[in-house]
Amino acid sequence: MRLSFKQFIKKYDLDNFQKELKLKGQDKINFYNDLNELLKIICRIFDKITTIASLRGGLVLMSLAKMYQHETVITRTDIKNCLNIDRLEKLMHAFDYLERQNYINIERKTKTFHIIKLNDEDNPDFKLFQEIVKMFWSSPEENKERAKKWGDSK
Amino acid sequence: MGGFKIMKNKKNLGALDFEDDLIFNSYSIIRSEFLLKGFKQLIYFFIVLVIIVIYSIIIYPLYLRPDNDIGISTLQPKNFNFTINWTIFSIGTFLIFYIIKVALTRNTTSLKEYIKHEISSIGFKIQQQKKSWILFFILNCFSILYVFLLELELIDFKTSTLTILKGCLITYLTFSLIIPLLWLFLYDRLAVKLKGNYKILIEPYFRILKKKIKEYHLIALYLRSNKLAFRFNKYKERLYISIAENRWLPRKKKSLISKYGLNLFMRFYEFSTPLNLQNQFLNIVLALQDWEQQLN
Repeated sequence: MRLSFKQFIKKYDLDNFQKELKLKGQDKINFYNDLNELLKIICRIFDKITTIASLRGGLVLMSLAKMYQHETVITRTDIKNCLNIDRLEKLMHAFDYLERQNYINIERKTKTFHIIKLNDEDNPDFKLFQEIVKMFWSSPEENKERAKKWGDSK
Repeated sequence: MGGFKIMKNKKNLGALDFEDDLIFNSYSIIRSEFLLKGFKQLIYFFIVLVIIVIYSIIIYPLYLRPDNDIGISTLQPKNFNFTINWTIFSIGTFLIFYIIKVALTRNTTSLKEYIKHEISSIGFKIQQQKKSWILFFILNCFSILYVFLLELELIDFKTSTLTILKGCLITYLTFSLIIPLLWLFLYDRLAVKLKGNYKILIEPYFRILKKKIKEYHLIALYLRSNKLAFRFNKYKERLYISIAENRWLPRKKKSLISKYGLNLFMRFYEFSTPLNLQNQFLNIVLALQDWEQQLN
């Protein structure tokens, strides 16, 4: 079972600013090991994202992680919008690659309506990946909105 | 593992480049080579087919047509019709399937050279496995010998006690043809021998029909390790899952056998494109190393 970032925070009460963090003996070793494990996973994520052999494969994976929740339906168009890409055709190669690589599952409901899911069952590192992306990554769509708002404001 | 081998950059190799937009040119080169190869194989296919048809329609009936007073053909090579028929049938069938396989496999000259170059630059040696030919040769020699001895009447199945032996012989004849064919389709691929029994098979794939969508030209390379262990060994299965998860290796192959859990053995699979072949190849090699180390 992979340790998630939230579990790590909770385990050592890192978000409780009333309480002093004191680690001694075995607790300190556990803390170090957990932190090491998280860093290892992050490094693996870097490695895998940089070796995705598609121009937009890594971005598709990030946008999917940003939007993905177990019960939500994400379509190819949602990803296209999230990445601010004008034509869906530009992402076909990435979808195909990620599906073959088993990083995503695609449910083909109709010829055009495809539901995309992140395959976090087979790739448990995706849990941490999702957490990081959800917390810190702003999508091109969000950036566009922010830039637009900033431009509109006087 | 075959050490570091520097290979010459051949003319074909220079044409292939999978960076960004250049992939479309490379795809066109590979595709046209594939079609040319398919056309050549089609010619071979028809040559083999014509030989079989000429034999069965023109030559074979001559053996059967009586041309003397005894009522048999003088052209008949003794009584070895069955031996000759079986030889032509088995070799013809194998050749036809071999030609079909070669025509359908997406191994083109320049792609093969590209893969060889990529693999050799990380210190491994790739080879085209052709064990089905050896297997076919050995099994077929024995099957021809059996049929020959049968026609010479040195083997006689008239007594009832030898019925089982007769059944075995028929089974052997069938399997002597089926086994090399199965081997041909399952194992005769580009292979990289690693250490001991460890090896990785590489199978390229790309679409032949051009798509309207310009960006959609994925050239895929499927990597597959040798059999690792029996699927129902729980300890090894846990180890397998842990390594596959840590290295982000796809665990489910999209074949019907794997989909319905009928695959009895575990293997590592990896998916790659020409651009990231070295990385993905090393990933599966290191997964095999992890497997060996953690097992011992």
